[in-house]
Amino acid sequence: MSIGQAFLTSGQIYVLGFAIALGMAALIKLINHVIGKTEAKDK
Amino acid sequence: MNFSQLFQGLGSLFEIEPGIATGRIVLIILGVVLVWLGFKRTLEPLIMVPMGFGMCAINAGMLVRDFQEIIGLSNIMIHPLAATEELMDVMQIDFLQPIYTLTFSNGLIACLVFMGIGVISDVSPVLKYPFTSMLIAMFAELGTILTFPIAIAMGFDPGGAASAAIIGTADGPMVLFTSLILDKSLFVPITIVAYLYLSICYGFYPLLVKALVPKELRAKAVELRKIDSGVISPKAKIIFDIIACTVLCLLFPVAAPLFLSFFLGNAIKEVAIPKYAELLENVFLYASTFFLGLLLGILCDAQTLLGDPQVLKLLILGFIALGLAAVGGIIGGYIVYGINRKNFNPAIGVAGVSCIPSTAKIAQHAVHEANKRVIILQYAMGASVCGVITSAILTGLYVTIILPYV
Repeated sequence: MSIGQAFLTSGQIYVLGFAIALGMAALIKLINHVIGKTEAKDK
Repeated sequence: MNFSQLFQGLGSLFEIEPGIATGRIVLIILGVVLVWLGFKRTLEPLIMVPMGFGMCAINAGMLVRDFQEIIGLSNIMIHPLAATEELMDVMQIDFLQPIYTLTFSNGLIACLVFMGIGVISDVSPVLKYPFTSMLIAMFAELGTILTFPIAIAMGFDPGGAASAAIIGTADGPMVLFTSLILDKSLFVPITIVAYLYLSICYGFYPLLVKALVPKELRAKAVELRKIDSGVISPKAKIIFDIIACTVLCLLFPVAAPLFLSFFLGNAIKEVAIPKYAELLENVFLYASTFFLGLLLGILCDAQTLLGDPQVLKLLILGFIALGLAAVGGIIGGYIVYGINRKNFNPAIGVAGVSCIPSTAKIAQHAVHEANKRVIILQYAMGASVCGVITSAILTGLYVTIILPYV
């Protein structure tokens, strides 16, 4: 693997990782929202 | 009476090459220093004390050549590179070999540590401030991302480069895991370098935070908008645990053991099974950490370590990876500071480096020194816990993408 390819591979991994991490954050927000609504209904 | 046969540890010093003999003495001294620094709490004592003792013992306790020829081994503690045929013989002589082969070199000890970390972690800050925490944690992964091409430039193959780069995740179990899969030949030196540096973080990171974050910014109080409920219920946390575990395992099956271990540990805490929680925290975590430290010290055998020319390169790469990780995290802190219109403390960024709970404590300490009334620990813990998740994501990605090159 050349240095250029290594930078490219790392860059791709970072972009993908960022997308997954922000996707997880969005999922967490959704979980909070749904739980919050369920608990408000129970009250 | 043959002096060297009688006092074999001393005798063997005169039999081996001067370079290795010097290495043994230096590592004995280093072992003593690590124990002392652990005792003084300058470095993390949980790892440094057993590691230092192990380092002293293995480098002092070498057998002379005649005995080595009789039993086929140079010491009776461990042989990390024993091949399958000789392994059963070695297991019956070396007292730590069963622990090394059956828990360390197959990643089990890493998973047990992760279960314990899961039990002691509180995911509430992650659930309260998910985007802030994840953003900081991903910026802290810059250490890993930038170290990979640097390692390739230094002559490592892709598997070795990825294994070295994962040191930047500051997550011991991830480093163990990655090097086992991608480059088993570097497993011993990479693991030693990674754990040694993780403990040095304690000493080095506070200086970096002070250098990169001016006092007036470190003194800033923070008030982020919380979600409606304010308090996160155990129900929300357990749902997060099971969904996050399943989703991450679906995406990265190669890192599934670590995801399972962390989220299971956390779930045990949230479901409130005290006997299990006690087992994971008191027995699994402390027993695993103890043996991890001891095995790391024992692996610092001068012949194994100094005979490997890659060790010096790994020392440099480890330093680069962890340094860039902290710088990246602080950059993330500044970005959140900008996004939140100066309602954030950039020093929190260092907590994105996933050395739970050390980096969160380092962030709080740095802020406390600038302004004793400011508490930022909850935000720092959110970033730290997300750091574990982003480390696992990056590990999964590197292992999946680099494996075909190995």
